[in-house]
Amino acid sequence: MKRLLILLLPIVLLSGCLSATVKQSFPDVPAELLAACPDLKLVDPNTTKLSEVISVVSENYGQYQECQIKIDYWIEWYKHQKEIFNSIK
Amino acid sequence: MFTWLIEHTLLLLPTWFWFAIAGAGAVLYFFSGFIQAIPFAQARLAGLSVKYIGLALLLGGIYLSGGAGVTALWKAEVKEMQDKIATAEAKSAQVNTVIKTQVVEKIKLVKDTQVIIQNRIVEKEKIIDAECKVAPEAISILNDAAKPMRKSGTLGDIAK
Repeated sequence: MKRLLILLLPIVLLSGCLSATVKQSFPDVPAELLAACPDLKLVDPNTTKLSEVISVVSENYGQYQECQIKIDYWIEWYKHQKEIFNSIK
Repeated sequence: MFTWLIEHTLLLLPTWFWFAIAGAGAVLYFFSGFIQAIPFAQARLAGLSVKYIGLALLLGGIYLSGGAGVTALWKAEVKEMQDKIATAEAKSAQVNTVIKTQVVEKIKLVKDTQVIIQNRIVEKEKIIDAECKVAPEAISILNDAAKPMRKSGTLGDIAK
């Protein structure tokens, strides 16, 4: 009888120790935003042609614009994901 | 291990099972008095055992029926939370799809514009280079401005 009580006691006591786990995974980021911005292109130091200089400079402008788009959308992504995250209460 | 055992055995049983156990315990406890009243020494001992078993079943059944009720409430809350998370994950995926589409479209526009610009430079190359010779100093300054100025150092193992 005592043995039965000893066996039952931990079952009764530990039945209050159960935990329910609800897992929320970290949102994925679009792969397009994960690519790092490359360094700016440099002009060939031996050139004297203005057209080559303009070409490199305009390529760098394009590079900047791509990075600007990525940063802008990182901010957008963060704002929206935070809003969605905070909506779970 | 023990918690797992409880989760996968005791808590899977329906609530009515614990009420039935408690009821059976009450019945045993009630009838133990009759068994004890039988005028034999062994009957008295058996009656006492039945009384304790009945009492244990009654108390255990009441306790676990309460536990089952609480578990049901928790399960409902967990389900609600899981539904909310599923909705949030769907919204999150939707946001990602929209962002991905817009980023791809805008970057494509930038790249297309770049192609046009480069073609225009090639077209006007002779005119551009006709009256202007760039000094090496100017290129040096321009390149220095374009060189990345990075200080060493990253976040390292902070997140670990």
